[in-house]
Formats: sequence, C-alpha cells, structure tokens
Amino acid sequence: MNTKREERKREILVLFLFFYLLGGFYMYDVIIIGAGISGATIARELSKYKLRTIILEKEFDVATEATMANSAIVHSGHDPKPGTLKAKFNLLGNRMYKQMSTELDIPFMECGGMVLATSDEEANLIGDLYKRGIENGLKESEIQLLSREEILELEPNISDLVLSGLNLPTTAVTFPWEAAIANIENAMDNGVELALETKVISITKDNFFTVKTNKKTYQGKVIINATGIFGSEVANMATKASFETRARRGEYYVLDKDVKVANRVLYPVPTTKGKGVIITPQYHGNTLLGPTSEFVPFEDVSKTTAAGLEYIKVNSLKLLKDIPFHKVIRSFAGGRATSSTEDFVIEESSVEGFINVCGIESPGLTAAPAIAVYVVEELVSKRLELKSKESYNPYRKKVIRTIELSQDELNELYKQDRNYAKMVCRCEKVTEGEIIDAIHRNCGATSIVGVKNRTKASSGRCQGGFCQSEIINILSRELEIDKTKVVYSKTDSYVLIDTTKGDFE
Amino acid sequence: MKEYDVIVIGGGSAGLAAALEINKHRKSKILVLERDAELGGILQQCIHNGFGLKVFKEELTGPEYAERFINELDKSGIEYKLNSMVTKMHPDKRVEYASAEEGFVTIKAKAIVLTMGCYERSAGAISLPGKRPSGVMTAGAAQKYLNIDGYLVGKNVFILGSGDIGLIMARRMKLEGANVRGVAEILPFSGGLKRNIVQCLDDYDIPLYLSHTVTEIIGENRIEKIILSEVDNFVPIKGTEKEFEIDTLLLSVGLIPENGISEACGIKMDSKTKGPIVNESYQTNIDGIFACGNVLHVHDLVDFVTEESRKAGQAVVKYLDQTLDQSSNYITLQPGKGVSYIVPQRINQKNLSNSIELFLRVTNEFKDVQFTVTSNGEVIKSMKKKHLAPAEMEKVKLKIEDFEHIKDQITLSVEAL
Amino acid sequence: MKEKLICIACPIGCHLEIDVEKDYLVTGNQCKRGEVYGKKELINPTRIITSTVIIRDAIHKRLPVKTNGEVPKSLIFDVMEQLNDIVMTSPVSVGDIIIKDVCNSGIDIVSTRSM
Repeated sequence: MNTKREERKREILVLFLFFYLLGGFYMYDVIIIGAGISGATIARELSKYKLRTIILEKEFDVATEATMANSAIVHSGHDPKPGTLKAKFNLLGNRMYKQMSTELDIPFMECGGMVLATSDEEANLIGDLYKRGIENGLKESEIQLLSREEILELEPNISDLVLSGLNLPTTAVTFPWEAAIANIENAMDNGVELALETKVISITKDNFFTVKTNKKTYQGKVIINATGIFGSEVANMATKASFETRARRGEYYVLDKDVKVANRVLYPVPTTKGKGVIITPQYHGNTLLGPTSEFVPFEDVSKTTAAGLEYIKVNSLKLLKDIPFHKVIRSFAGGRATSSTEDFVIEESSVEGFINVCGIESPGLTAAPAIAVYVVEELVSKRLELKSKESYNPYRKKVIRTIELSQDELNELYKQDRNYAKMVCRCEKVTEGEIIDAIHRNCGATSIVGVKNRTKASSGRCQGGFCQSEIINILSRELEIDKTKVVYSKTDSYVLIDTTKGDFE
Repeated sequence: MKEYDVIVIGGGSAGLAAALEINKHRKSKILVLERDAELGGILQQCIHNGFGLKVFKEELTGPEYAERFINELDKSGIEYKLNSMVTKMHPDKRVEYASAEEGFVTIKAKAIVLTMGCYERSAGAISLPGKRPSGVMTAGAAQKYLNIDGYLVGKNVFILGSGDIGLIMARRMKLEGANVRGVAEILPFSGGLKRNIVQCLDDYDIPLYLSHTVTEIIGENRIEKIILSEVDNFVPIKGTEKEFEIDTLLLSVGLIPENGISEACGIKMDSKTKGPIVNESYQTNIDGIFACGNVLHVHDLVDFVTEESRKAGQAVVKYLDQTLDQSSNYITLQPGKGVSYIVPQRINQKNLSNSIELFLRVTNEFKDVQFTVTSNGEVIKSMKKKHLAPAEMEKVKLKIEDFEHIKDQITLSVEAL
Repeated sequence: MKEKLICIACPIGCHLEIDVEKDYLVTGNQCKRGEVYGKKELINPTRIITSTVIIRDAIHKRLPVKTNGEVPKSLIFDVMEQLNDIVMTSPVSVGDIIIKDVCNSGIDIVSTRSM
C-alpha cells in the first residue's frame, strides 16, 4: 500500500511539474498590458518589489504607438486644467525626469520652453496661462511673462507675429521611445518579463485573472491596463468600462539636424484642440514640427496626410520666420488616447485588481514616472504586498554613443572591441558595436526600426539608404535568422523577399 | 600624425580619376580613403551599360569601367585604404577616419579632394502621405540588394520617378522575375535618357505615367497598395485616383550630393547644386580643398565625372607646385533665365590657359533655343541649341578671349532664337 | 509610311524617322550607328543584355555579366533562364566567357568584372 501511495505522490508531483513547466499554474502577481511609456514606467516601479511581473505587448517591439509618435516634450506643467490628474502628475513627473534620465542613461535636453502669442487675442490669454501655471504649482522661477524684445534676444528666428510670451525654463526634451525602452530594459534586468507579439483576446476573473492571448494564456492577481487608444476596448474585457478612449492623430515633420530654427521648445497659445503645432528641437540636432490634432478611426492613426502636413507648415510659420522645409527628412503620425472623461483615468475599475491607466494623452509622457509611483504605491499596494527587493538596481548599463566621445575615448573603446570603429550609419555616425549592443540588451532590438530607435542608425538624412543593408546583415547574424526573415518594423514586414535565381545558400 | 600631399575622400569614379591624374603629373604622397570593402563606388552595382563612350570610345558596364581605373590604380602604387569611413574634416586639412583595422585616426594633407558622391532622396524627404510599412525603398538600395547580394525586394513593383535609376531598375526587376506595374513621373516629361525609356519600359510593356504621383501608401506591416493621382503643376487632381495593388514601391526621386563632412568643415555650398561652390580649378572656399564628381553636382554620365575629376586633379598638381593663383579676384557665374545652375560658380582668369568648360543644367525642356552668355547687358556669346532638358547636363565652352575684358560677373541664360 | 523611333545606340537618343517604303531610309540620326539602328530596329530588333549570375567564394554573391554583342529581342527571357542556372566560383576575370553561344544566338555571355 505504501508503494502505491508513493507512486501516486510521484504521479501527482510529475503532473504538477508538467503543468508548472507548461506555465499553466504559473501565477503572475502583476500582468501589465501595453509596453508604451505608461506600461514601461510602471514595470520599472514594480521591479523594485518582490513581485512576479510580465508585460504583454501586441506589437513586434515596445513603444510603437503613441509613445513613438509624440512631441518628445517633458512639459513644465503649466497648461493642464488645475485640479485634474493631468495637472497633478505633469508637475510631479517633470520633477522626476532628470533623475530617471540619469539612472537610465536617457538623453535629456534641458532646453527650456516658451509659449508665444501671435495675436492680440492670444496675448490676452498669456496672462491667464501664467495664472494657471502658478495655480498648478509652478514656482515663480519656473514661469515668467516675456515681452517680444526679451523673446527676440533668446530666439532670433521668431516671426513678426509674435507679440509676447511665457518663459517655461523647466521644459525639457527627451527621446520618448528610448525612455520606454530604457525603463523596460531596467525592469527586465530586475526580473520583469516581456512577451512581444502577444495580443490579449479575453480577460476573465475567478480568484485571479485569466488572460487569453493569441499565444499563451496567462494568470495574474493584478492587471494594469496601459493600452493607449485601445484602453476602453481592453477595459471592457473585464467589465463595462466607465470611460471611452478615442484616438487623436498627430502628424509630424522632422527637419535635418544641420538646421537650427529654435533653441528651445516653442508652443503656440493652446486652444480646445490641444497644445497646437509646436517647434521641438531634439537632442542630436533635429527639429520636430507638429502635431496636428484630429479624431480618427484606429486604423488611420499612423497615416500622414497632405492636408495635415500642410497644416503644420502654415502653423509653424506663425511662430518662426524661417523654416527650411526642403530640409524635411521624414514625416510620421500616431494616435494619442483621449478619454471621454477629459482627464487621465488612473484607478482600479469595478473589478478588484483591474487597474486602468488610460487616456494617457499629453502630458502623458511627462507624467509617466509619477503615474507609475502612484499606481504602484497607492493602487497595487491595496491588492498586493510590496516587499522591497534588495537586489534592485535602478541603473541600466550605460549606452555607448560614439558620436559623443572624444577620439581618445573612441580609441580606448576600440582597443576593447574593434566593432566600435566599424561605422555603419554615416549620417548619424553609429558603429557596429553600438548596434550589436542594442540587439543583445534586455528589451533589445529585433528589427530595423528597433535598431533605429535604440541607436539612431538610419534616422538621419539618407533614412537608411546607405546603411539598411548592413543593419540587415548584423541583425541576421546576431539573431541567427535568415536575411529574408529580418523584419523592418512590424510582424512579417520583411525587406528581402527572396533570393534571385532560386539560390539557397 | 601622418602627413600626405593629397587625401582623396572617396574611391569611386571621381576619386579614382583625380588620384590617377595627380599621380600622372607629379610624384606625390596620395591616399585614397574608401568606406566600402572595395573601390569603384556606385559603379559596382550599375551592371548595365552606357559607360565609357567618351572616355574609352567603347560602351562598357559600370563594373567594367571601374575595373579599368582600379587596375590602373593598383599598378600606380597609389596608397588606398578600404573600409575606412571619414567622419570629420578640418579647415586646416586634418582628416579623421575610422576603420576596424586602425581604429580612429587623424591624418593631415596639403590638399584634399572631396569625391564622396551622393545619396538618394528618401520617401521621408518627399513626405509621401500614408503609412510607413516595409516594402518602400529607394531604387538604388533595391539595386544593391539585387545586383550585389542577390535578393529581390519584391514581386509586384511600382516605381515613382522616371530618372535613370528608376528606369534601369524597372528593367532589372522585370528580368529577375518581378511584375513591374508601372513608372510614375510627377513632371510632364521623363527625367531619364530617352534610350532608357525604350530599353527599359517600351521593351517590356511597362507603362509610364507622366504628370502622376503617388498620393497615398496603404499597408500596415508591408505595403499593399498605392494610390496614383494625376497632377496639375504638382497639385494632385481630385477624381483621378488609380489604385495599384503592389508589394513594393521603389523611389527614384532625386540624388543629393553627400556633403555632411564638407558643410561641417565650413565649406560654402551652392543651394542649387547642393554641392560646394568651386572656382575654375575646382577649389572650394577653403584653400587646398577641392571637389569634383557627384559630390559637386549630380552627373548623368560617368564620362563627365572622369573628365571633371581629371581637371580637378590637374589643378591640385598646380596647387602643390604653388603655381595656382589664389587671389580673390574672380568672375561669378550667374544662372539666368532657364538655367538652374552652373559649375564652376567662379572663375579666376589667371588660372585658365585658353578656355574653360562650364557644366550646367536647365530648368525645363526647351526646343530650338539658344544659350546666351552676357555680362552687365553685353552679349558675349550665343550658341544655338536644338534640344535641352533638365535631365541632360550641358557643356558650354568659353574661350579666354570671349571674356577677357569682363571683371565681375557673367550670366548664362536660355533665350528664344 | 514613316516610323518614328528614338535611337538607343548611345545616350544622346536622336529622334529618328524611318521611311519603310524607301528601303528603310533613316533620317534624324547624328551618326552612322543611328542609321544602322533605325533599320535594324524595325526589321530585326536586337539588344545587349546585362544581368548577374550566382558566384561562390567571392566578395559578393553575384557576378555581373553581359552579352558580348546584340541578341534578338525575342530571346531576352530565354537568355535570362540560361543565366539563372549558372553557378560560378571565384576567381573569375573580366571578359571570361560564362556561356558560349547563348541560346544559339552566336553571342557569348561574358563576365563584366574580375571577382
């Protein structure tokens, strides 16, 4: 009888191990749906604690939607409606950005910003904007009124229409996709998992959540819904959502980096449609012009239009005198999530443990780190015990950007690894060593655009005309896949279709 | 720091011709720096013929043309480094480059010749409306994948831009098994050589849509369709939209001289050519830095590149021998009516022997007109021209006697007969 | 009856007129080659074909080749089929014959570079 018992125990143990290995009984503490800036910062925050966390992302890479297509501005917090979550988290987030950027080695440009009034009506509104900024908590050193003469001294290229403005020295510029990638990389270094090309199909709850996807089925105690424009769609999988998210498309132009049209972020006076067409200088010298703002069906969010780009031209010329549009190297578009509540939705839904982080449109990029702290410390904490992880390391491995190094530093680097002297992208001066590193880190590059987002290779003047073939060679070699299987940006977006002459080597 | 007499940046057709020409006339320490794994530049992927009719009196393919120069270079003993990318140039003629073999190196020269060629205008630069799926690339990139690496980038192709690269690729893709649905050109005339329209489109029944452009790219992961619209003076005409289901869009919408290094060094540029402003000796505004070939202005025939680069090489020899007059008295050449640009942009008459050959491009197609060379209203010379087109670079020869008395400027324009 | 053609013998591209009834008399040409081309194009059009073949152990995966003379236009795709079956191995010299008398045209396929 004993041996039968032993046999039975062994059988149960084997069955248990079998299912455990299958992942059927693997219980996550937190499942984050969406690897945009919101999901990314929350993941990093969660990785400080002893919590089994996974991020589910439906696309081929992280940060491909709203996080990829926005103004890249870390706003000062001057313009959201006072008393809203937007106002609260904008200011808090702004104050966290420098430290986060230092810890995660994200390029951070503290260039400052200005709001410019280009008509008498707008000039009258400047005073109100100032008051609003103060009401939102900005200090006097963080917001000042400016005359035209004062503006002209700092920004010689302003148009003749500019009458007065507001100085916002705590405005800064980041690389939003790099910020998301860095947060996820650090989160993964600290134990968080990432599942790409994984689209959530259904969510049910008993004692815990069962999340069915197009790939595996996951189980978790808490769900963070950070799905951007799909926010209410995913929220409705758990229970009837109390809000609706719609997509507001923004189109942008990118100017070549050998042109400098402004020294700082230049905003027009905002309207009900939003912040308007902004001039954003970028860290490595490019300038971003945009966005437009219109509600569109989800399938149109990444489409640029001739009308939209024309709108940007006309409106950016209200702020600046001289814009060399023949120096445009690229245009793109993306959809930001607008909630029907007209504010961020950051709360547990009526289903315990299902936390919505939705409607994260502007100032979402700025607010993200502050939202993450709130979500974890105030919302997740109500459902799960937050036990600090001693091994938590807030720093990610420094990213080598050869374009920033001196020749001596470069030769030191070269001595350790010759790949750092193999120039791949000539326009942005990116070496093979940097690309290899970008592929092999956590949350590494697996596509051509993935390499671009992490290293800037192919983001310059010639837009990959010269270096794309080498990037394909490197990806093929490092990921050990055939060159015809190297992806451009989205699933199955191959570049090389076939070898000619039926040649299979 | 290693010092050379001459550093040639770029080992393509221009760099090879310039280096050989210098070496022919003067024993000098020359170094050619080439970023690719072999010399020859873009010629190596231009496997079609049409090269060498003037220089060799034979019709050669690109690689054949390149090989002639590369063989000569190998015999000449001129030093060259491959896989070496120049990253920076200084006005004092120091040059920084990087290579896996040497790391990051700075060298110096008495003279530098810029021969970096050009790059293709991208989809992003022309703001093609629609999404950004895979399957959209420049014709030159597709040409490299096809001819060098042996990959087809698509099976159902449409081409935007009727410049030679687009026409050549239409034929290449068809021959390698793709279905080429058409070539669109926004202007009412083609940008390529007439012979290419015949050999690349007519021969294969590939339709040419003049006064048309792509007004939308459709496709989420890979391109699925384009919308083609007729245009009236660049403006799409509503109601003329045609849909094409394709998997590849190739762009042949212009070449731009690659002057990143030049601009960063302070070399003054011509906004029309997008290349450096040079004088009759192909010298830029910086003493001892010369430019020739596609980096100076985009050429149609490699034979003219060779011709121009040889002239530049001869001038470099004079410079090294200190027989080049460097005074700042020069005549400026102004493009007048109907002329887009003239190269060189300045002439110091003291450096001419008996004549100068100007290269220029016109702004439109013209039939039965004349080039008029004037200065302050006075007509110096006029030449009848049966046929002019922006895609066909023109040469105008001026004898020294023609403009000996001119002190400040000369204008070249297209006038009715 | 006069046929209009653009000469492709060289990059100039003269506009030719060929009078079919007058024994294919060609006008509009700037050189003898145009005269030859005009008549031939209407009677027996021929082309030079440039393409690539597979090559192993070389700096690139493809070797550029050409017909060392003109072949009948109707043979273009037959020639391409022949080329598709070729696998060369480095070293190859420029001018090496890759296929002799391709498709019975009397013309050879030759390499256009050393590799």
